[in-house]
Amino acid sequence: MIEVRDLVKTYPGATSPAVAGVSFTVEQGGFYTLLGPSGCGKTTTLRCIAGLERPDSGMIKLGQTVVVSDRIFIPTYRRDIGMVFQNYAVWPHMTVFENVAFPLRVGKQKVAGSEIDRRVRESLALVGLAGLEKRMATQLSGGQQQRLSVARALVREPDVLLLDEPLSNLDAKLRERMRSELLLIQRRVGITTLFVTHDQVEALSMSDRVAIMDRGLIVQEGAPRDIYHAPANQFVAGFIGSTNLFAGRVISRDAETGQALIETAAGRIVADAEGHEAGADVMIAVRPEDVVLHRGRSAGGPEAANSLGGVVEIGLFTGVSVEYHLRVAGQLVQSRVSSRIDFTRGDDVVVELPVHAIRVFSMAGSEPAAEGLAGQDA
Amino acid sequence: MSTAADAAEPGGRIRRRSPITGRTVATAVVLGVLIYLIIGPLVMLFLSTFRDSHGALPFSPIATWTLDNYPAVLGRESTWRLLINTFGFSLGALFLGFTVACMLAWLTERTNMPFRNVLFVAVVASLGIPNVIIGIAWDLVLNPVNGLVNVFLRQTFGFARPGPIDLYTLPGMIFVQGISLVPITYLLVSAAFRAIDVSMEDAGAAAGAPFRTVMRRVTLPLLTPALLSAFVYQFVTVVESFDIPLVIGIRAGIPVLSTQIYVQAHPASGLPEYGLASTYSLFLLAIALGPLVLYNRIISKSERYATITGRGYTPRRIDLGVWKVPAALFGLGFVILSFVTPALTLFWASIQPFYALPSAESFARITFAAYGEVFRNPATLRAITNTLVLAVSVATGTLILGTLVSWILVRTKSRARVLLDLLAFLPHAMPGVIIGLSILLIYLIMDRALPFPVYGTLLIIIIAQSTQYVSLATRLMSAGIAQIKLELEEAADISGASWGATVRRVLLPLIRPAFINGYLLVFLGSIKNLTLPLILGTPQTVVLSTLVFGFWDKADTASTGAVGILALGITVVMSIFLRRATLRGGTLIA
Repeated sequence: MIEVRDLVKTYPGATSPAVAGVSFTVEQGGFYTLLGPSGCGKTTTLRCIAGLERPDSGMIKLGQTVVVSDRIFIPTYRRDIGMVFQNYAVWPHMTVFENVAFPLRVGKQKVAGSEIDRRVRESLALVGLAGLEKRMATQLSGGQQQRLSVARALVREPDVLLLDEPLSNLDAKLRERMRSELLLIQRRVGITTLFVTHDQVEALSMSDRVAIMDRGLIVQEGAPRDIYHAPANQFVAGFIGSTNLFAGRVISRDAETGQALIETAAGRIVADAEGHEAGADVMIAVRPEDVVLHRGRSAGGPEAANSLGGVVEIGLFTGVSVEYHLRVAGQLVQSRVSSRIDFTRGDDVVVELPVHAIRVFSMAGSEPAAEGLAGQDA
Repeated sequence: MSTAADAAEPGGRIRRRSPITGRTVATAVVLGVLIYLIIGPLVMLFLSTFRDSHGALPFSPIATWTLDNYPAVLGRESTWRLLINTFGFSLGALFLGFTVACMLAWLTERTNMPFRNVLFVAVVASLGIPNVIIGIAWDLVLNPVNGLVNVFLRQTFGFARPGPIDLYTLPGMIFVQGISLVPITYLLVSAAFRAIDVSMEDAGAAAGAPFRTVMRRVTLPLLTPALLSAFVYQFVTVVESFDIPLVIGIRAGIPVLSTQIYVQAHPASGLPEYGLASTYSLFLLAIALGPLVLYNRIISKSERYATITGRGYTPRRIDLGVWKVPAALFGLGFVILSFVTPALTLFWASIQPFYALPSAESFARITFAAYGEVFRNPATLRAITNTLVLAVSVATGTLILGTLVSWILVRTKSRARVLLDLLAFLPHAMPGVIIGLSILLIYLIMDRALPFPVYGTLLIIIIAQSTQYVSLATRLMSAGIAQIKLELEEAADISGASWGATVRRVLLPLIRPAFINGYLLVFLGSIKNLTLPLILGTPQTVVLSTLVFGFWDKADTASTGAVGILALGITVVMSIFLRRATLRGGTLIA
């Protein structure tokens, strides 16, 4: 288990804190991801947990041990952790075996030679590097160095595993494969894992829970599915997946259903807008894959709610799908549809924005939401 | 596609009969100049070792071929003393220089020592002090007769004269040379510290290793190739060093190989023994060349240590806590020894009619008369003019040559590259005193055959310094050109620029920073250099370094101080102008 409470860290000379009060808990055996753009504080948070940075304040608990509090700061080497670095930090002057044996040899408890041998081999077998013990670490390929780094992190059987963007240096194909492999190893060992990444696909596909960070704070935390489908604010909606965002103003709102009529550059749109009064400036978000396209011109009229007339500007065929850029009145709208749907530039289309797929945020919607608010402001 | 490009294709199947292109001509000219500058002197040196030149020039009609020089040198017991001196002096100075430089580098790179940026500037500034001036200044401080510290100790504690501290000993030489080695060693070592990926150390801590274990098992092994190459490089520097062994070692009666060669060629009495001097030179050359070959191998090997590099955190600085003050005092102590003491001593000497300890009386005697006198002396004005002409010629010449060589090395597939690479590397292994001696021999002989005089003019010093500094210029420019991506030149090509336009509009602006920095470094080296002007100079071709040395040799301390301060001012200001980025990167020699 990892418990972090009110963590604050400001680098010397920086004007704003890198981490500005972060709290979260990783359940025993859980796979928890800190996701955010560079400079959001995710790596600093991880480094504080590893003891590589000293936080200004806050509490960190690893397993049953408090490693950081007002009065306690346990140095890195006394924390029961395994860590995989972005560049793997594989020691070039040691063989594969020596790299993995290192944590067993330098630890406080002396491990017998035969025991070291057995555990190193076990660990290497776990990551699929059995038989390469005698190689120099630098003779391994990038993917192998990555596995080596994982084996080294796991060999001591630590309480928690810390992963600092471990996949970002791999090429795309390998990255995809390592994603499932890493997850499989984590499940097999059952180790509590904290993962830091800026890659949303990694975060969504691997984690039990994801925390989105922005400017030193967690802005939303939840299961990957909830975060994707119910982003708490404009920042999350924009950061996770691609999103059509457009500004609008609430014209009227039905207090009973919570549905509101919103004036936008693309036309009038009906959406669930709980908490947004008439006259409020709002931001509307729709995922491209939720935008439905019909051939032909819009019939107009109230019965065709959220069906807007548009013109195809360009279509980008990717094989899996086609991404159409559509001009709807004064607004550019993106739609991702099956690659079998074929329009050409200039075609008239009806752009349907399903009511259930639209999310409405306050205009200044990028301020961090309080924890646990995910999916409640709709 | 042009023919030149075809010929440049590595495995080009179609190789048209290549007509002589501009590039071929340029390569031939560059090669010719390098052979003239480097191979000529070496051949001359080698041949001279087989000439019996008692009382004659090696190739004068009365000299004969002989094999006696080798047994003469090898058979002498003094030769072995010479080797022991050379190695003892070198290793002692290296030990001192490296200990201090490593501590300073670690403190400034990895700890929160206060004033670390000030210390960096001070180290770079002391890089500018010519070694001859360091030697002379320490003579003024510590010589057993009237060295300020000794006079002070005698007055205070009643020690007997001379003494109590004697600079004219092996430890004295080692001390002064050791201090003079620190700035460049510091730059090399701190570059090595920066080159280490800090996550390697973090991974050690995360693996459960305490700080000391990480240092021993991770940091040190990772630093080893860089430290070793710096050590080998500086070993060659100190084996070849001439100024401090000349100023202190000769008086101390502790000759080393470099000064022995000088003495053989410039005996205080009697006739020069060029054959013997050449034979000693060959020894010194062998001692210097071996480590440099090793150095090159370490450098190329260490590239294999390269791993995937991450986004490079600014390494956390280790909190020194209560050790902050001792660390700052250590830094201050170094600055006092390397910079403040030499500069203040020279200044004090320059404002005293006769050299004495600072006191009420000596303060009353303060006079700037020496400056007036020195500047009225036509030799001084000649020295300043000569120094500038020399430095500008050498810097311009070697940088242009070095740029051409580098461009051929980095950008072409010319078959002359191997030879060019070797030629550009050789002068590194040629101690200044050997370059001086062999060029002296060449122009002593050729003088009658040349339409204009070279021997005894500034031109011979320009040629000799060009030989000396062409390696440095080539290394700096190679690094600079290698940093410019080929695509940038190709983009210009594709944009329709002619070769000339590409060079003028793209290549030259991009290499300008490297060029300017290289120019400054060679310029600085030329001003600081004493060896070549001393061996090849005449009263007409006096430069600042020989002028200072001459005044000091005549025990004219006021003039020594005044000219020393002048030279120091020029070189220190210039070294501060050196681009910080280059120094930080350690490309100074790498």
